[in-house]
Amino acid sequence: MNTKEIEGILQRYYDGETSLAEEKLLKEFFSGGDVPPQLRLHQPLFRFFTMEASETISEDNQDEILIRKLEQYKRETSSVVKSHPGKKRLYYLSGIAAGLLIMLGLIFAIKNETLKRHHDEAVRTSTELAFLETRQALLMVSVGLNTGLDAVQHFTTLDNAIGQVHKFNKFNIYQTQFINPEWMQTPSINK
Amino acid sequence: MNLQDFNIKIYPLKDKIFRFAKRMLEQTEEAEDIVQEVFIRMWKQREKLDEYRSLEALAMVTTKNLCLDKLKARKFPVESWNGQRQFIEAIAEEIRPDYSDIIAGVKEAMSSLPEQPRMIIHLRDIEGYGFDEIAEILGMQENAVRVALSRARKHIREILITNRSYEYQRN
Repeated sequence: MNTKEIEGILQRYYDGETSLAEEKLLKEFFSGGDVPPQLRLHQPLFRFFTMEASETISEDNQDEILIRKLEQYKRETSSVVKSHPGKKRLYYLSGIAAGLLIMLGLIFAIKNETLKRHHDEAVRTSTELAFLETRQALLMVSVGLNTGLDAVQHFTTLDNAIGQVHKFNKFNIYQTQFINPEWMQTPSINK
Repeated sequence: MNLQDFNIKIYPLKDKIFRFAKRMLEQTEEAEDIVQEVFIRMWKQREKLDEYRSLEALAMVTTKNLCLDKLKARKFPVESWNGQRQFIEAIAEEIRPDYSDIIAGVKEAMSSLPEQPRMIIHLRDIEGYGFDEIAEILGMQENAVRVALSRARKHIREILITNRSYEYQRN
């Protein structure tokens, strides 16, 4: 692999146009000992990549970490399971309670409002009402009075009757005059 | 999927997951935690695993999401602690004989990349994934992956050039 070719690949490498195979070739080239001076600038980059790719996780404390993680999970899940039903029920109950409170409040408010409106109306029409009441009372009185008048009507009948009787009386007087014994005894006409 | 399948198909991914997580979190311990977390998550949905086209892609997606969550949770308060951790790890890396200053410079350049291009360059240049696989893991268009990869590579090249000029000045 000559320097010219490598330079060409490098150019395309920095432009992001190389294939994985070409990049592997670059890594191999720069890990070798004989890199021409004009290309040495890029050497640490590819050496770094090669070296980093071989880094592995240390197995020493992996089990320890895993156990710690699992215990953490167990704690989390168990606490979730334990607290779940009670918490859920509490949520529902608080929701229901809040709903009831809102409904009660609304009912109370509406009731209050309508009562107030009625009261206002009553005050507004109280003079009218007083007038109506008075008229009602007066009407009642007048009706009562009329029933009294009916009774009074009988007096007129009695009066008539008395008038009749009076006539009769007049007749009687006339009769007594007519059957005056004096007249009987002495016919005044003939006199 | 039973335990045997799990051991054959998913357990061998442990190093890939570890490297990916470590690239993101830049911290060995947290990366080890992520590996176990990914295994547990995969095991929990073992009934559904047969529906997936690529278990490896699924494992990598899970790793990516867990790492991003962890990075988001980290943001400020742990910063100083994390700095210390990085310092200790840097010392450990220095002890490795084949880890020259210049290679450490590449690592630093990688760290300076934002999360997405860092993931892309890791998946491509270290793990050797195809563009289609990377697009699937990161939920991107293939073309966007290509463009971001090119930009990330050039960014690292810039840093390497700057580092070299410093070195010339020093010598």
